Amino acid sequence: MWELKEYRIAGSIGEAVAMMRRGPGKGVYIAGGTDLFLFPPACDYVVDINHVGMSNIARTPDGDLFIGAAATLHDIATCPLVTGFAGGLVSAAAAHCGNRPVRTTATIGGNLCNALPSADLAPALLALDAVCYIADEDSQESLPLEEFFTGPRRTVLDGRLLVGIALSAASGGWRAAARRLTRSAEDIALVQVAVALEIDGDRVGAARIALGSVAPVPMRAMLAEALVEGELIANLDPDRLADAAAIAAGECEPIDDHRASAEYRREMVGVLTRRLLASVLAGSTDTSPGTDNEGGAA
Amino acid sequence: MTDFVNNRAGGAQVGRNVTKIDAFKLARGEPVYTDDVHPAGMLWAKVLGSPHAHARILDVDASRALALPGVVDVAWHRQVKPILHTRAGQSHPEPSPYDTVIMPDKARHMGDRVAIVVAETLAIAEQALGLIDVKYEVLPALTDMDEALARTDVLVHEVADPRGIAEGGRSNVAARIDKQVGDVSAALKTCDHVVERTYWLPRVQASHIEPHVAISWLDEDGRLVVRTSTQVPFHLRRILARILELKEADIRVVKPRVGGGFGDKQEMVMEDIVALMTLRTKRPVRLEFTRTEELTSARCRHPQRIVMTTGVMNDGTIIANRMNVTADTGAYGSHALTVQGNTGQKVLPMYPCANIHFQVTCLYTNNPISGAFRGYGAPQGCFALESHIDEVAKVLGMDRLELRKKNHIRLGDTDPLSAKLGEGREGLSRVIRSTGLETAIEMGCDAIGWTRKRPPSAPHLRRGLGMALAMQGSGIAGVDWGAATVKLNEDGSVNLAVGATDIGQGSDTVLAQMCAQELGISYEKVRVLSSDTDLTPFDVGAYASSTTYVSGGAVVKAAQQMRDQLAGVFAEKWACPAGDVVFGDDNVSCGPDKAMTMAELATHALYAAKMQPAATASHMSNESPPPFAAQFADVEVDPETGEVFLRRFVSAVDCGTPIHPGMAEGQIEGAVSQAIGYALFEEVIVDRAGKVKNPNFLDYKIASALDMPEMVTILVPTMEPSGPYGVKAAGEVPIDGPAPAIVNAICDAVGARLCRIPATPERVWRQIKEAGE
Repeated sequence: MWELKEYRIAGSIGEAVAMMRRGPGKGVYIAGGTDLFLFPPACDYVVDINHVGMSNIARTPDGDLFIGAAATLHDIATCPLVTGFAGGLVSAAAAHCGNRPVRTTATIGGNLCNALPSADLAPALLALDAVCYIADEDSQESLPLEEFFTGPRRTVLDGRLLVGIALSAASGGWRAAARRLTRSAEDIALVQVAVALEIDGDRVGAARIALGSVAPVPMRAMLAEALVEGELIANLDPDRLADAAAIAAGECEPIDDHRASAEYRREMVGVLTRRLLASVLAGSTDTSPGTDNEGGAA
Repeated sequence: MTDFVNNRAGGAQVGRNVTKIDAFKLARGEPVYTDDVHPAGMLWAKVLGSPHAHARILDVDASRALALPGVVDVAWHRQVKPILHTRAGQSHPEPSPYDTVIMPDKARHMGDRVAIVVAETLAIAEQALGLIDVKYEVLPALTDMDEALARTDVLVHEVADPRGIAEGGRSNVAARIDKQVGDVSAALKTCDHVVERTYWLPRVQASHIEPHVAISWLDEDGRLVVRTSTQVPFHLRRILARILELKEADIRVVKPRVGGGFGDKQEMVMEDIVALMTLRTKRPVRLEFTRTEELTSARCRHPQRIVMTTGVMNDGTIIANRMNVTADTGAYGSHALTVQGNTGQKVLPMYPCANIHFQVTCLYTNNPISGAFRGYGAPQGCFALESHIDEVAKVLGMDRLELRKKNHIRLGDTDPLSAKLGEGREGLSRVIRSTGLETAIEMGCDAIGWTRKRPPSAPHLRRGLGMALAMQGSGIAGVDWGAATVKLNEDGSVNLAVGATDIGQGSDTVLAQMCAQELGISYEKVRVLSSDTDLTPFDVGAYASSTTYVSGGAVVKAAQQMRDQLAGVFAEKWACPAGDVVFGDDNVSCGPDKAMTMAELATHALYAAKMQPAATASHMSNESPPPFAAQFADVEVDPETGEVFLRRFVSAVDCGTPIHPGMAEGQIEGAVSQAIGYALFEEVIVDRAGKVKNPNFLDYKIASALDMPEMVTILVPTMEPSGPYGVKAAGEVPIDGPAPAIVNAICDAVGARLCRIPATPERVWRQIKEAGE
């Protein structure tokens, strides 16, 4: 049972951080609370951030997509701004997280700040070069999502508050697809792979391969990306894609646990990376990760 | 053998989909479950579970816990009289070993009872657990069946069962069976082919929505009342009386609405704890298991290893079948003998042949406790046999459907094993007097598209079809019985009191329909009470697929007896022959001009004739007619990832003549969804130290709505002469076939045979790799 000494409700972002810093003892932020109630942390107080104006989803004048940290997974799964961005990659990731009751409560901020290696939104966001906005009491900074995670259940935050995520207008036009592998339909992912490619005429521009559940933190397979980035599409034959997939499999650091073996996870990174690269290059328009139909598009 | 006259006079109350009798109160969230009502002054109990899989409990120092404000009492083994018993809720004398006491002096699995705390709040009780100091002598943990069999220097149970069932003190064997019809070894030498394979079945948990929960108190006469989520109130009363040294007269067990049991509540999992603490403190006590406790300390389906050996001729005639089962009963032997007995008895008769050999070795280990779970051993046996039939067909180069059609049991056949193997003793022989199996196979094949397999939905997938046949029983022949009491009120309504336990499956509704049918009244006029050991007559409880068939028989008999009384009252008033009185449509009549409503007749009986129309009747059947199922799976497999996508599942089931077809279909679909988890992802994973690695729903995966395929459910009605209105059972048979049907379909898709379930993506992937090498 989770017995709290104090429940603090913040009215603004600055106040939320101040409430967190005030002590005494240890505090945690709460938005949807779906993960917190699963594994109640030892803490003296919580700071409720549902009323600080962080649940918005918007396009900026330059076309960047901003998703507030308190936006629910259901909003992200259904908001046209997100479903229409990079083939709906981020929407699809949100849509396959948990089940409908969970998604109407759980937030993108909670998914990222819990920093599980299997965070469902992380690979899709990493594949689109997401940037995090982080607030302190009287300052803000931004940094790439890759730098946000520092270990399992650890982030750079240290009492600061994740305000939101931004995706650049350019990545909105990338072709993308993702796939998560599970035992049952509602399950922690055994392996997640998200692939996003910038198609520039007959050539691949930026290439992103992001992995989840196969390392201490969600990660990018940058060596594999390098094999694809900037290449002529004509040169990306099945052998080349298989090479890139094998490199990605080599880059991850999976573990054995009761859900799956490290060997299986590593092999699946290879299989899924190869298939996702091929389907993205082929321009498949089907986005339903978590089922047998892999694919994605722009 | 008693046969029912299966006619249906008057407006039909049976055979139609009436509104479930408790539907509205359940939908409205009325306080109908055990934990919905808390008596004043109630204490909260928690169990201190052992952190060791095997350890002597040398000493318990509860002084720090008792010093915590709000803690009322702590009990452990030195304070509780050790009376050996079994917690299995079975008829007396139970066929399960007496290997259990309320508070053991040795922990036999992680989570086994070490101490009980009761406190003024749950939080205090939880906090107190950490303040109990226990001295253990840690013993080697036996968590592997083969090691448990091999070793006699480490014994899970050192004391022999006083009735001599277990090999207590000598080995870790909890139960053995060795029964043979004909001579299998000799017959195998004469066969064209002998096919032998080994199959492994996992430990799984029933995962009923409502966990185990019980509340007890002393009533104004000082009698012990136990309100509990149980399938077996009368067995509970008997066991509690014995181990608490009370009279049955001083115990009342009340079963309110129950949120699912599936066999896991055919067991005294916690009622003895609350009763003990109520007797010690004289206060109401409540205990509820957390989901983690359900997965570590309730009951699981027995894990088994099954070696199947089958001898066949080139034309597909099965000559001999041997099933050798090694099973893990865990720390205690609840249902050890009888579940394993069912593994053969309910399964092998599907293909009758002259030579059948069935062997069981069931072992105590320091793993979580096994017990009753829907299907009761048959899902394990059915997985082995129906997987094996596909393997035999492959060896013969014969179509697997044809092989089944050639050998399966038929009308008039005698089930060769049942006489040899009853409920822990010699049983009664069983002749098949109704079967819809042929029709079920035909209709199922058609619905799944057996002869026109669909192409894969994507190029990277492979498609496969699989099938399995299953049979079960309808109650335990010559053992299970129940009673019913009917009583008429002046408005023409009827009180029906049954010991039969509605645990969500809908038996109250079905029994009301049967009662109404016999009395010629509409089912809305029947008020059902189930079950309360003070107020309702005896029934063994809801298990072994018995309620509609066995308890239903009691309801029909009681209603008939009361109808005869009413015919007498009517005949006297109207001066007509009692035999000519007709009941129907809430009216009673004799010819066109002698008629009254049931309400008028009831008022006449109570105020003019001055008699209470009422009857109590009992029913037992010496038969246990098998329901049959033919089940079919259509799957797609991703050979590179090992993922299995179940596209369509067809069940064609002969459960006799259904009383409520909609609920019969519900039983089938519920069983299939539970079995999908068994086939594809459910497994309680226990490490070598005896620790459950996945004691939560985050990691113990059961099927959810999102995992459901397109489900096609076909009822194939037959008229079973020994069942009231021709009924047979529906609750268990449909859980047997899905796992082998799905695994056979996986094999059809990718050519890899999984001899072990669940067929997780990784397991399927490995098997495909192995098959390709």
